[in-house]
Amino acid sequence: MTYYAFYPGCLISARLPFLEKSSRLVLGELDVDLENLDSYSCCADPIILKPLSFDSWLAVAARNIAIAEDAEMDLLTLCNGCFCSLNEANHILKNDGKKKEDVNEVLKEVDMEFKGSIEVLHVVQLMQEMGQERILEKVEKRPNGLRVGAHHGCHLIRPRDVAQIDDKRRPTVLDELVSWVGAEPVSYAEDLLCCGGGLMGVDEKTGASMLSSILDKMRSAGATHIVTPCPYCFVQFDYRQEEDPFPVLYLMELYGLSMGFSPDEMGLKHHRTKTEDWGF
Amino acid sequence: MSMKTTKVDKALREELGTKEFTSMLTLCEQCGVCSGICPLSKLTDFRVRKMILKAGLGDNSLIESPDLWLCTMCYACLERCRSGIQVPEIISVLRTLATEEGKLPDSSSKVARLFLKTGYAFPLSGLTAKMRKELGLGELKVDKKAVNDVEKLTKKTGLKKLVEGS
Repeated sequence: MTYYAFYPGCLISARLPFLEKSSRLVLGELDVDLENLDSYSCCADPIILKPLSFDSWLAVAARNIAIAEDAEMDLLTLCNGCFCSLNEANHILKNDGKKKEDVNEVLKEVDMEFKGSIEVLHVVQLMQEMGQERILEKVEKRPNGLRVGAHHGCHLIRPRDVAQIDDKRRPTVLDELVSWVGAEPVSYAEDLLCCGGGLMGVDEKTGASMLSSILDKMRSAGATHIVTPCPYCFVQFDYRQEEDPFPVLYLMELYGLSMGFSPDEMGLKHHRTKTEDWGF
Repeated sequence: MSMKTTKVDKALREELGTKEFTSMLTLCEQCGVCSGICPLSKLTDFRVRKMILKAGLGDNSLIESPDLWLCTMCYACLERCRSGIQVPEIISVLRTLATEEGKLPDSSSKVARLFLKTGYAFPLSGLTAKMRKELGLGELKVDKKAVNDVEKLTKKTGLKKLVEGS
């Protein structure tokens, strides 16, 4: 059994709980034990909150990390945004003594301390660490003609010296994870660009154009489905496609279907883009 | 001859430090690789390259423009810049300054206020509560300790005052 402090993040907890469900089913199958710790807050989010106040962002992230440190467990997150914030804050504070000292001065306000004793992991990294062989032991079904437009999401892979998930200039980690269970990733232009999700509040028209540009590229490349490990990209793809939409799967949903869990038990009916064909 | 110091100039010097500010002025070759990779370039008039040029010149119009809020912090330009210009950091300084002047867009203000009030950046809804129950997941509540702690930390470090005023 491997133990992790579980940090689902507020987008998944508050809006997409079915992604938490599929993740719990898959991780349970892989003998990963998720500890629910109390009193986490939002990571804080890297798109809106971080650019407003770096110091507040760092203090809030350090507090969340410190909660997992107190439980003596590495922190596992399901969300690119949470990963980006918590991993970068962890990276900064482990490498910059002055910033660590400053943040700990602030954390005294809430009787906490950042020690630098744990790692922050995205569920993608956990899958990488486990490796294809261990995952295939649990796989019961092969997909049937599932051609995937795999969308990493910016905050999983950049900045790459901090993310340290895939150091290639053109990361392919998600393509690999998708192909492990027998789906075929297609190669499409704009695979590493922003989905436009972060723009929907500020400039919906531009955000929607970014999305449709990516969808066009996926379509030309012959994709049948979209897979992403990011709940923000998931919302953008699942809620906002218009004509002839691709069904959208969160990475853990793809793995869940492969492991034989049914669409019903994973709550796939809560997706906005409806389909009878999940590719299996 | 003395140069007139602008708000933008002053904020960037203070926040980035003299070394980074000077690098921005002297190292940016205006090669445009940032605008090339930026997904906004083909859809809007916003150009990262021009923004960096204006930032180096301390152009105050940067904080007036709605374009300042278009960047989604995708870090594509940061990865490609050969001179190591910290574009997201520069945008952050400009956004903080613009927010101090009351220009935080409503949608961002809503998220920030919700975060300060509940500790979450997304609202808890009855629909989600029902979904969580049906999926056999635990109930999601506003965690009072998290909210109290967030309040103390953001009071000390600036976000609370920036968003809610004094």
